Amino acid sequence: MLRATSITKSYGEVKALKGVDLDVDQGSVVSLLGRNGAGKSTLLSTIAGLLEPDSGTVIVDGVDLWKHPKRAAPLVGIAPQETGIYRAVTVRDNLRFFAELSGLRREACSLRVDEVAERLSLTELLDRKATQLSGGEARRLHTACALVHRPQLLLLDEPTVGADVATRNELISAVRDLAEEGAAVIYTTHYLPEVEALAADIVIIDNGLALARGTQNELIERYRTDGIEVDFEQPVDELHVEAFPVSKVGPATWRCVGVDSLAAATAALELIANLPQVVSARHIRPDLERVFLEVTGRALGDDETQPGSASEGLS
Amino acid sequence: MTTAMAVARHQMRILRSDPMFLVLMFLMPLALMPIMRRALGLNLQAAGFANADGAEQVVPGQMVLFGFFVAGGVSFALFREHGWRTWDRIRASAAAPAAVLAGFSGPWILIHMLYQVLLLAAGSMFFGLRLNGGSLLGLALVVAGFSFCTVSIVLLAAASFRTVNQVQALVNLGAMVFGGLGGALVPIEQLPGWARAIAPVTPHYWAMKAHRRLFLESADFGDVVVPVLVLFGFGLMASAVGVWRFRADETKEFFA
Repeated sequence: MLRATSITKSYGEVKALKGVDLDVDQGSVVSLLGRNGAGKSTLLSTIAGLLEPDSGTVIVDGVDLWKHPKRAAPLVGIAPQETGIYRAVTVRDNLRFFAELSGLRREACSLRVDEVAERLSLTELLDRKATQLSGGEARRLHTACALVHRPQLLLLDEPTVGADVATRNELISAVRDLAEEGAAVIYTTHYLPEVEALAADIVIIDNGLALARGTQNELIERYRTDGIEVDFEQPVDELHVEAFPVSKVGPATWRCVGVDSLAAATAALELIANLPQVVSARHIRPDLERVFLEVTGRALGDDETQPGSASEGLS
Repeated sequence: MTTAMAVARHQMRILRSDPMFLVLMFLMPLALMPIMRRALGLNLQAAGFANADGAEQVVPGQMVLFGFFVAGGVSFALFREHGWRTWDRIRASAAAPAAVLAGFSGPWILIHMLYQVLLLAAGSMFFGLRLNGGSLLGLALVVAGFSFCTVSIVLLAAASFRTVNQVQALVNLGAMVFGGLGGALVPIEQLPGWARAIAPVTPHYWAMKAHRRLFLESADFGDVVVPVLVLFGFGLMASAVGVWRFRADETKEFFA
């Protein structure tokens, strides 16, 4: 459904995308996982036809989006990161407008509005003004506006930002249903439980590069990151351990990663236990957050600009 | 066409949801008309229109003056899309910029025409404004030409500037300067020579020229053809430059 190849985009001196490839099949969900500023939204904007890439191609269902935008645009629906709805009019009028903009006529338009409203639990709210919606309801309407023309490729940029748990679950369920019906979905987030709930293919993106792709289990298997974490009684500024890489994760907490078996972890624990002032140590189990750390060299919640440890493309 | 109609219908829905701006723009000139009518009547009489009672100047004058503010609504509508974060959603539909602009300007041209018709009707009802044999067709075309012209000029401003504050300041300035120079505030004879000399560069001058001919001189259609053509010419030029200047991907700032 989507084949984006070698996408680059710079804003002045800042290289937001450095040659990203992304394929998404019909009926599948791909989750772009990355920190703020990693390039996720820029990538979505280039795929949605909103931001022309400096180089690279975006092919949607065989149509080059940047060469034939009129043919490709109806195939794509985007819900940008910031809520974009018409606050002054009703939920129905919001949906009707985007349906009409896509060329749907009166009856088809009404049917589609009702259908999308039902899917995102907006039926009861159809005649309510958008100003009167709660944050979660507004977010559902925002997403519904992207669905109303029945896109084959749906781009959702952090759709659950500011949403309550119920809205979050509804959106995730709707995304799964859409994929089951044959739509290709790209879903950006930096919220890991969502990625797990979606059971999607995950693309880790950082510093303008797609660094890794696979299911959650595949990534965990590929980047096994067992290890131990040790707390010292007092802050420790420097620590060197023979044979194991260590990193500081807190003033008095250090982590020894890359230990791929409990036995090795135990060995490391013994090694570290010989050091003074250790008050506790624990085994770190592999999970997506640690995969992310392993792949990018930074934690997912770390929004400070730091150079990533990884410098190669998708593996 | 589908895009333009969809955008136009949606603009009408948004306008219906809060018509207060238009109501105020209708009431303000109506409130000023009785205050200024007598003085303007005396001005017209001094200019040689012995039977003038001031309605011939104050009704079209206030209508033309405030009409520019009303036309400013189209720029507000365009910038509001950026404020509501809906602009990118329209762009994502790959709608042609010209069609989108037509969708925005179409309803505002119609509203602007309706606005003028209502003010003329109120002028007739409350202040005794009469055509006295002047061409109704001519009046209709002056109204249409002025609406097309002012909405197009405001759209050009919206295409050229980055923030809604810049455009609104320009609309306010344009309304007063064009209105003053064009003879909408006081009869053109009362203006200094330099102002009379440059007045024809404003659409207001041509609109007022046509209204005066129709209401003071009972002009027939042929007498207002030139002002009508000038108004449509201004409008076409502004539209063409506006479409050429318009960049759909340009970031516009609504109120912070």
